[in-house]
Amino acid sequence: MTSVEGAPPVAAGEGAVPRRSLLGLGLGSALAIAAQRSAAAQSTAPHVQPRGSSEIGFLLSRITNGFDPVLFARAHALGYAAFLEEQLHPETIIDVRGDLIVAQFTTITATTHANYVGHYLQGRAELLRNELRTSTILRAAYSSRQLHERMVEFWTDHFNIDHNDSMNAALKTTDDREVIRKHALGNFSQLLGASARSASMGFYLGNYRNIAGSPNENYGREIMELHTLGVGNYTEADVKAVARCFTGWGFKEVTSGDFGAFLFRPQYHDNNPKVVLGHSLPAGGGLLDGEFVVRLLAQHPVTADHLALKLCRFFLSYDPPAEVVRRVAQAYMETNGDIKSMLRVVFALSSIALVPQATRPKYKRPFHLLTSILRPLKFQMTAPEQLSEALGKLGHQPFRWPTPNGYPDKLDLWASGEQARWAFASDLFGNAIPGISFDPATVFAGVPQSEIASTANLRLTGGALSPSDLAALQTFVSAYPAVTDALLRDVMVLTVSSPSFQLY
Amino acid sequence: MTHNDQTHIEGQTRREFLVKTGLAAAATSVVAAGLPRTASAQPPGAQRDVLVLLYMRGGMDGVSICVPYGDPELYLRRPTLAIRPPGQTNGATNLDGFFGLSPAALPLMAPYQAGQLLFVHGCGSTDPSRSHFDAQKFMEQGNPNQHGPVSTGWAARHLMSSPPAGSGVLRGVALDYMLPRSLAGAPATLPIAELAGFKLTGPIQSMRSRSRTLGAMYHAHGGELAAITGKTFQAMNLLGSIDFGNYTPQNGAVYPAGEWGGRLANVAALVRADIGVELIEVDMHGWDLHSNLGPLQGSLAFLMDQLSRGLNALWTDLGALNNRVTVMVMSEFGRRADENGNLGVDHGHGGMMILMGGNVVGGRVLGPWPGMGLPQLDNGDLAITVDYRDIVAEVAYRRLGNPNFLTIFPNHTPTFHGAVV
Repeated sequence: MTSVEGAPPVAAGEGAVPRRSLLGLGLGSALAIAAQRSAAAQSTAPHVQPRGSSEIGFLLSRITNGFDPVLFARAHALGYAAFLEEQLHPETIIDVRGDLIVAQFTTITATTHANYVGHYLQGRAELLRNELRTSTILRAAYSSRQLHERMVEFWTDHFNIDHNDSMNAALKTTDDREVIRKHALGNFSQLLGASARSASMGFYLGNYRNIAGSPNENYGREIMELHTLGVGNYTEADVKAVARCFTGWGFKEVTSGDFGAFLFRPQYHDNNPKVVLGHSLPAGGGLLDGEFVVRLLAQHPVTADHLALKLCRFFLSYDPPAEVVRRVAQAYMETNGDIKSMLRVVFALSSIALVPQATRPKYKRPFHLLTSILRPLKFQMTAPEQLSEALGKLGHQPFRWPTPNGYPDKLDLWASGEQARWAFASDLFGNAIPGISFDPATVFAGVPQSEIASTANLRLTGGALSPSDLAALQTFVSAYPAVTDALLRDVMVLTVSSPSFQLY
Repeated sequence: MTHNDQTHIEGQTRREFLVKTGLAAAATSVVAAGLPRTASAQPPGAQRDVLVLLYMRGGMDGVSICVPYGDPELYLRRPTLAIRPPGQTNGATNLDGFFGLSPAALPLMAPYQAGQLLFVHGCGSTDPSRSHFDAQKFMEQGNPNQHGPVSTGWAARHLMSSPPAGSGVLRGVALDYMLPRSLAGAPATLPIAELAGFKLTGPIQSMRSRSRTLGAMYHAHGGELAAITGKTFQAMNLLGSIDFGNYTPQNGAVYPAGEWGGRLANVAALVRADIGVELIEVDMHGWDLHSNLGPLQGSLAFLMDQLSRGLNALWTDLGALNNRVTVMVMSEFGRRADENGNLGVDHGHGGMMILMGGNVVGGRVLGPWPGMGLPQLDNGDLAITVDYRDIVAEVAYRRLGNPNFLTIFPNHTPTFHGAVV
């Protein structure tokens, strides 16, 4: 492991990518290459400056999962607008570490059929869930396509699916790839349509069992309440009608050799006329009924308002200015649901200027807390799945929220769990999580005692700790007669346990 | 049933005793609104119960637990899914000639027969929403049908409007990762997923200096985070002195394996520790069964089994301490009266509450049965004949010593139904 002078190594090198004996892939040389590339990239990183004092700092705090000097430098080199534009086009970003992570989890790129037959039916549902959870954490932490990862998190909650729900151990993996990740920065109408056809969603909300004569209303309700219009913008009669529109939507059986692929079964479709949100659908619509509903809901101005508010809350503030929300909704309507266009308005300098400083700080959810610790540091990982176990103890394991509304994103709901966060930090830096280890020398080699606190601040946040947090940290360090391994671990624990590290 | 001294009074069940002596009837007739102000200001009972809130997320199907087999409409509306009457294969066990207990819920029979478990049918939140999230929100905020901004929960307002029962250091605990809405804004209340590990972990040598440093950081930060830190440190000190990890259930109680059972054992341990905790919440998820209900062997049977074995274990474990505890089981709504085409039931309206404890007037099913005939249904769902706020307010008044109904439920004047003494 190479120790890099000055700026922290953004590529966590071999620490970033797990060496998984399970899959036995010979990735040693690839990892070495990746480490060299990122080491080369670091040499161009300028001196790190405090975050949050500039618009770029704010942008970085919102569209990344944690500080790292390479993206910091990239953003300053490109400038605000060009950096945002680059992140809006993840396909143009070389992502060596992200690709290496993906390569180590064979099931996340396999077909539903292969996962279902090859693992789920063999009693290996937990392997499937483990690979999806773990790869999700690692990609969020280490991918260079950070805005894409943030949007994946956003849509994963918006179209929440609990993959502990029997065969969703296999189905959700495909939904994550083909629905969420594929359309995360695309067009909302296509995203909604892909979700409606997703076997994972169909299974989770019972739409695959929704048949003529005995409709199952679950999906019909949630596609309006959660995915598009928001509660209060439809009637119970609309719920029943929308459910009838989606009758017959299902997926192929395992005997087809293409398990989980979308299948419309006309014999189960309710072909009677329907009225949805005041629109009359004639008899005999077949598959077109559901497709009409997807289009109708996606094009509805109330959907634009709903999504705009959620996006602004996710990225800007718990209480975003109404004017910004209005502009984002307008962008949605003008572009027929282009997600990039909405994000350009969310992050327009004229939008940010309307968000008062005092309303900007958001409280990191445990997933974000974890990624923002991983991203700037090097960890040795032989059992990266332990990261998701640790998140489970914080109540935020990916794909585990049982109800379709997704994990909440509210300060008062998460901030009460301080003790669990502190305990997690102690475990992580105390090497008490099996298979995950941290060596303080990767941060503090050669650093004199007087600079330990500021070094921790610089490495973990780019210098964003509040003055009072930094002062308390310095007081802690200076009380020790000498620098020990235990002291350095404590400093890391305290830094990531500090109030300013909980906020972004 | 030997571990509850109050259970039998001269060979009678407690319920029989109450009924015969007219106490239950007297209790039923009290209307809170009609109480003189002085009485209202001084609720009875010096000893206040610990309130245990068990929230069944997703919409619990009460009809499949406490089965109204005496209503023939049940079998017309749910020809496949209804639990059969007593005497038939997989039938219910008779409770009172009209209702019967589902096979998967049989562990509830012991506290029921001891007169310490009460079913309240046709009970729920009058808010018309059939959305889980809205129904839960308005119910837990204690503000159904009044969709104004309410930032606190009803349980939080109960704690705010009554003096601490003990030191006040830790008054409410949600055995979970985050507080439920009912406890939003509650004083001295924290979510604690695992009582046993609730301390400052890490090297013992630096415990004090780390603790001081964290305290200094959060104090300087101020605001809500600082307030939470203060609560957290006090709670760590309090709970750290108790060995929750080695808690042994009493009276031969056996909790269901897993998170739910473990948390109920934590409830008993917290009650037994007697450290001033007044309110404990535990949630169970998974009740939203639109398809494959499985009331005999499937999903619902599993949930009923978990619920009823859990309640049985808690009741058994607490023993004489049941006199200091009121357990309240609730859900956002019941299910649709008719079964759907997927052997499931969609979102409904009227639901069911279960009360358990030494001061519960149990061994019966409370509430006028709303009926499952078409004219009796509310848009195809069971109607609400008992407002959940009535039951909560009665428990708050009689068992928690809190007469401030209008603080707990700003827009509701409760009627008491004689659920507790």
